[in-house]
Amino acid sequence: MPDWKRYVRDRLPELRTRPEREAEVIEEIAQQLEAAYDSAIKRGATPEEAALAAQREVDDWRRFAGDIEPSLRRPEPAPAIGGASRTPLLDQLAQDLRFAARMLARSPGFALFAAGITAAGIGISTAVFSLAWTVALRPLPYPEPERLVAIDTVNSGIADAEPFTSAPDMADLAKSSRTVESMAGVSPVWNLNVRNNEGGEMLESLFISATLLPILGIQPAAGRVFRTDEDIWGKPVLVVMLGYEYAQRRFGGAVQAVGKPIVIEGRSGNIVGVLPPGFRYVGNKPDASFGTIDLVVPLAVNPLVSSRRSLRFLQVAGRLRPGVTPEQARAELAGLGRNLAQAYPDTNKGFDVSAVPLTERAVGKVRKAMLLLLAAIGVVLLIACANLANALLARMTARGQEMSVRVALGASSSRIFRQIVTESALLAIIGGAAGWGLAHALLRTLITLSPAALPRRNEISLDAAAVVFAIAAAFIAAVAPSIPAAIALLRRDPVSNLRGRGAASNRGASFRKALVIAEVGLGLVLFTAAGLLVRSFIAVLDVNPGYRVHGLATISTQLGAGGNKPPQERVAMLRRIEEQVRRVPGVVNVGAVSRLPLMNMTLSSWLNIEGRPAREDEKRDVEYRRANAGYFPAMGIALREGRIWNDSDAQRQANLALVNETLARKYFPGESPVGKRIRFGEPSAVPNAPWTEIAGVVADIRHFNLDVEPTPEVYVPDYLVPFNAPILVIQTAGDPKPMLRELQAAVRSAGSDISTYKAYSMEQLVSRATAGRRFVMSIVATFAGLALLLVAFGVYGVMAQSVGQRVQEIGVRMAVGASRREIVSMVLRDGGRLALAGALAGLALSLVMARAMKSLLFSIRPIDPASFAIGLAVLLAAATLACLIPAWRAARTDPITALRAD
Amino acid sequence: MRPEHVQARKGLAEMLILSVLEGRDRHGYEIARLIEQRSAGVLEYHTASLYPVLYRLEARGWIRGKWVEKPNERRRRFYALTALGRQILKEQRESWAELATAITRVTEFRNA
Repeated sequence: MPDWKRYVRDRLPELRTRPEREAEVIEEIAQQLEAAYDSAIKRGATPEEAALAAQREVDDWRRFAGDIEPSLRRPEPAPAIGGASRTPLLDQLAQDLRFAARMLARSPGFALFAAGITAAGIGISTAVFSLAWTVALRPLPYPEPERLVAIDTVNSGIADAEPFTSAPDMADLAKSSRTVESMAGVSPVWNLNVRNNEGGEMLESLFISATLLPILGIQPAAGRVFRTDEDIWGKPVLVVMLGYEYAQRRFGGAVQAVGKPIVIEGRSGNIVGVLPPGFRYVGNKPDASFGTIDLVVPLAVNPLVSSRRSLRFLQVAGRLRPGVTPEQARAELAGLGRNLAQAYPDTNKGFDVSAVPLTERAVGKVRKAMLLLLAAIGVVLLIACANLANALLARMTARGQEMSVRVALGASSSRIFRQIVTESALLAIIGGAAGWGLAHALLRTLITLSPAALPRRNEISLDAAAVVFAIAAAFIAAVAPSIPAAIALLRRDPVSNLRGRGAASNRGASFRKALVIAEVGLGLVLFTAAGLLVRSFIAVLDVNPGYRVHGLATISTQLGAGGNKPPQERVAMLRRIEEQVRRVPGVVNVGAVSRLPLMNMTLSSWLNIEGRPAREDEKRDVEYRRANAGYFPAMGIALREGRIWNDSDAQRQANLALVNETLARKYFPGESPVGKRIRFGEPSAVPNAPWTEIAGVVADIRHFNLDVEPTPEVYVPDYLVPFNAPILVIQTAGDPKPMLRELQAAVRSAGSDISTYKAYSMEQLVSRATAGRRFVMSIVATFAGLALLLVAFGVYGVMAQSVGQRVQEIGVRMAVGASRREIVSMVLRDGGRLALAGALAGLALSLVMARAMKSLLFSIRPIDPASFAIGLAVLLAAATLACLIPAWRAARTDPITALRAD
Repeated sequence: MRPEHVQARKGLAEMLILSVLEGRDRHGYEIARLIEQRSAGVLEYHTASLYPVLYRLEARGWIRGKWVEKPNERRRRFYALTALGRQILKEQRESWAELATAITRVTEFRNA
């Protein structure tokens, strides 16, 4: 039978189309002729006649070519009929995807590896990204959050003081301001006694202006918000709103709670509404034991609203008028603040009013740490990408042969390119989908592990930003690296591809080496950061807080609801409580204090020293606390000078005080403060107040947190103003945690209207105080570990490839006498050189990173030699180890087979 | 086939190919043979006249061509109707039927 293909090829003029299409056409037409030939034979023709019949299928080949060419060149757009559209692009895409799926299925090892790395990388980074993004960057979940500001009163003399505003000041500002449309005040978290059928409990509550919820745009879950006529100062109305979780617990649901009566601090009131789940005021710094807000009450109910202008306890939020910029508001409020200072110099001189966007108040100091997390994510992703890119390049090299054959046979390079990229895209999609699921699970774990005090913790979730991030990450990780790989592949000389070696593949090798150097450098940066954080954390744990950490229990109490027990009764109650507590086996000592360390409780006052009036601009701010004599030994706070008050002092109601070392150093430098006399409050407000004598000096303690330097502190005795709500500190012989329940029961047994809440061991409080630092450190350290693994893997991959390519060279060396050891050290040297180059490159970046992290560190310099040295050592060690396997394999080369191989 | 049929055939060929593909996928030679068979030899298409139309239909997306390889057989190019093609076929059938009726009416009309 004639060769019809050759026949057609000889006659058909060259078609202006892709070579592979032309080949197809030739094949198909040849089949036509062959079919015609066959059927003629079947009908009984002779071979010659049949051949003629077949040839008659196409008479004019030139004309035929002209007729079919237009259709082959490019698909014509169909004339619009009935609105139907064609989708050649989609068809092509579907075909590419199917092809990609087939290619991946052929090398399942690579596919699993690449998809696995992608999934892990995307999962971990998306989870941490969501956390960091929500806490530090996401706009507040209120309508038009950019129009919300926090209005602060800042003491120009004291840097870190709380920016609280007084009630009269807030009223004045609200009345005068043109830029702020509406203002609301929020009190610090208050513990209020709520009595119900089962007894009493203490609820974490807030006093809020009726305008707060409307300003924030928060809708109640049930019922309604406060009306403005329920928040008139001087005419308090006891209506409340419950927290969602509390309403569920106590009333079986939000709707069920509305309208029910409630008894707060002994007074009856009504529940008018229920807050949405997870309500928190963003400006409230949660303390170590923070739960959720269970109760909100109108500000008018709090007696402090009618207190003096100098009592600053409110956080103020405001919504700007439409069209007003924060700068305009800031300027106006500053002016109003100056007016107040002029009108009320005694209380307001030296205080400035300013406004910051509410988001800043919400996030505050945590932003830096979150940005660090984001940077860590970026580093790990980049390293993972570099590894993937290397793996892809290696794969390309392996498939170089296949590619060249296809090109030689007529496949268009753009088609191949598209197929390669589609393959990576498919990997990205699979890895991305798996990674997304992983991110969900991981995020839930992260939230559980995160410190309770993390700002905006209740808002953390996978949102639109997370989706964008995940998609971008998948693209960068899986698709982007394939593009240069594909380009490199296609630009290569097909002949050298077929041979499997050549200059072109060496060019690929140096690109891969550059990638590894970059990886090592990035790994060093991350490792150094982790090292700095770890050392800081250890330093914090090492701090001596000045009080007992182990064997100490703390219990907050309230003596009677409403706080209106007469003083003698309160004294008696406390004594009974201490007696009961001492009866519990294992109790060594008991004391009581008004404010406990590490619980974000602070109260400050002005210090006046007899004979040493303050300068114009000097603000003598001191922390002010009440304690009984037993507090200091129970807490383990050392007495440095003088004495603590005793029973005879109590009998004559002596006006004594204890100061701490910092106060002594600051205000009585070089002399003993014992015996000197002091007073508290603004001089003008208390001109004839009795002087208090300093009885002694106690050791400094870490009150706010372990990593915050002590400030001047004053303790006054409880016998002058007996406690309403003493916090008990109980020194125990053993571990206090198992004793907490018994201790609380003992406290309550001293009286029927004594409530206890917030029972913790000091160890728990310390742990929670350091939880934030520990959290960030753990995440960064984990990432550093991950990065280390990835870097080791990357180095291994490159060295393995390099050894593979140098098989002949190694064979020659061994043949002329190189020992195994020399080969191993040669490979190790090469790998070590790579790692060293990377480390040096990363060193500069590490220095920059360390400087930027300064505010997150404690007690170590950013350029901490130990952290850097450890980081370097670990990274170099890992890189060297990673070279061991290829080195060992190189040493096992059989010179004869190596030399024969090509 | 009579030469005067040639022009009319070109537009017709499209519809013929589409309708032959309505039942199932076929390859080039089958298409030509079926047309010949069903028309009882009146309509005959050689490769030179069939393939330009076939490729044109494929370029327009009215049919789709696919290489199919069966075990122990050489691969063949099969063509199938696309959804678009199906719609086109329906419309073309209607318009040809209309045309045929019109022609009949004109030619059968006798002057009274």
